[in-house]
Amino acid sequence: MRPLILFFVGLAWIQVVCAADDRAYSEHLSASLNGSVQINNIAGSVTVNGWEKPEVDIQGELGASVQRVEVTHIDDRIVIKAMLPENVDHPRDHSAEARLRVRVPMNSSLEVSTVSAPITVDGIHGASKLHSVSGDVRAGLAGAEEEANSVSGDVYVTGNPTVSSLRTSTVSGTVFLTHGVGDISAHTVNGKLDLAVDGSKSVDVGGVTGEVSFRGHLSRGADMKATTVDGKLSLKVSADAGYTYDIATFGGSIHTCFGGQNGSAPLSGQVGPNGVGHASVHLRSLRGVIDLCDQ
Amino acid sequence: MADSQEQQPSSRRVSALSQLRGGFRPSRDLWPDIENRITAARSASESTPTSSPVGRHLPPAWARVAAAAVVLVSAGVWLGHVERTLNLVRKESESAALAPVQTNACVSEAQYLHERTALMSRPAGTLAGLPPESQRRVLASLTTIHSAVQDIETALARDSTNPLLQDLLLTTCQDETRVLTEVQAAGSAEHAGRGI
Repeated sequence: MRPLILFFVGLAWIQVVCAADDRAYSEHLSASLNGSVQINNIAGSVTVNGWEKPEVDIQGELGASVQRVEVTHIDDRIVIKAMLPENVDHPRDHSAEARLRVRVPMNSSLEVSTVSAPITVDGIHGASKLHSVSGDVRAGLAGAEEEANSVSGDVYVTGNPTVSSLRTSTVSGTVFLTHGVGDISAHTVNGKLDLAVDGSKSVDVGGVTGEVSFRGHLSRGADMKATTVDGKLSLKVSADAGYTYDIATFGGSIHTCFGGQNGSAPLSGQVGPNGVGHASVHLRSLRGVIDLCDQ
Repeated sequence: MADSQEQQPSSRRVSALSQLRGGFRPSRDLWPDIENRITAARSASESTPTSSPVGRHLPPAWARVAAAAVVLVSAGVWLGHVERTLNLVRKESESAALAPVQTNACVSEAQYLHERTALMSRPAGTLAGLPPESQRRVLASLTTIHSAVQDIETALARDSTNPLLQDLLLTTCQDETRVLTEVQAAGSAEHAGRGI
């Protein structure tokens, strides 16, 4: 028992010492109101907020192994990189972490890439491209063209009526989308998609073995396609002017809430009025399960 | 009268060699004239440089061998090119006839192994620089995709014109491309954050 206590005390001491090694970082520079900002960070975190000033403000804490934060400003483009030595190989302690909080002009276009650092973005009205390997991505998106991807982390994105195109994906994590609008593309391999869509003209979603859950409304004339190989598609779809659907599976099963249309044979039908501007819904699987209902 | 007597034998029909007149000679010696003509022709040909009888004005032996080698190699290359082109056309027409769908559009077995090795070995822009847990997950996902493609291709082998299977194969290939692109982008981000 006593060695165990000593071990934990030692561990806590190491954490305190490491935290004490962190050094503060601060940088402030003028920027274009409609410029672009690119941020690279391997470990730690990146938080970006938009503001009305024509300035970029960077605050942060750098772990002992972080060499420096390199900032370059060329024309309207600002690049911020937290630099690690070549020989530091993803240490388990926090010494390689750079925790950066960055404020940028709200109409900037933004590009953030991290390895294991989570990304949080809010208040940016320009286009955003957010990529993380194992960190989570959280973003309130308001630009015209938005992209949020993580390899093994989770993606939490909230749309806005100003968004016209939203692409999001995770390889093995989960995508949570709320208030999705515009043209939506969401994909996973063996992760999960949980999508809530307010109104969309085009939806392209799918997974290989992952699970896709879609609850949403389609605009007039919208086109929706959802595919899976071995996963499950659960869809609750409504549309302004109704929609036609066709469902096909090679060896899976189909369930709908439209008058007992179940089984494995191809299905097609119509939901809502038979008028101009109806949307179309196409669902495909190899051996997966397809479940379609209107809301 | 004598003339008529001498003409009689010449008009006689000869029916055997023994009946021919012996010691027949031309009225004059033709040889000096022939010799003169031959000598004149030879001297004329020696004074004309454009004429090239065999054995005169030939390049050295090594040059002839080299020229022959160049001709042979050129002929070989040309024949090889023609052969390759024919093979390519033959293979394409065969594959077009045998495989009406986009099978092998993404990952054949060899290609999959090649991609996997490349992802693991190259230092920048690939898996090698990523955290171990992410590497494991990406490889697991690529394995999932590869299995899915194999399943679809197996089904396509039984029903090659099935539009559903073709569509699923295409979609799954796009998933693979998406993963590889993500890994590439992630590797680049990792590489960009490395100093000296």
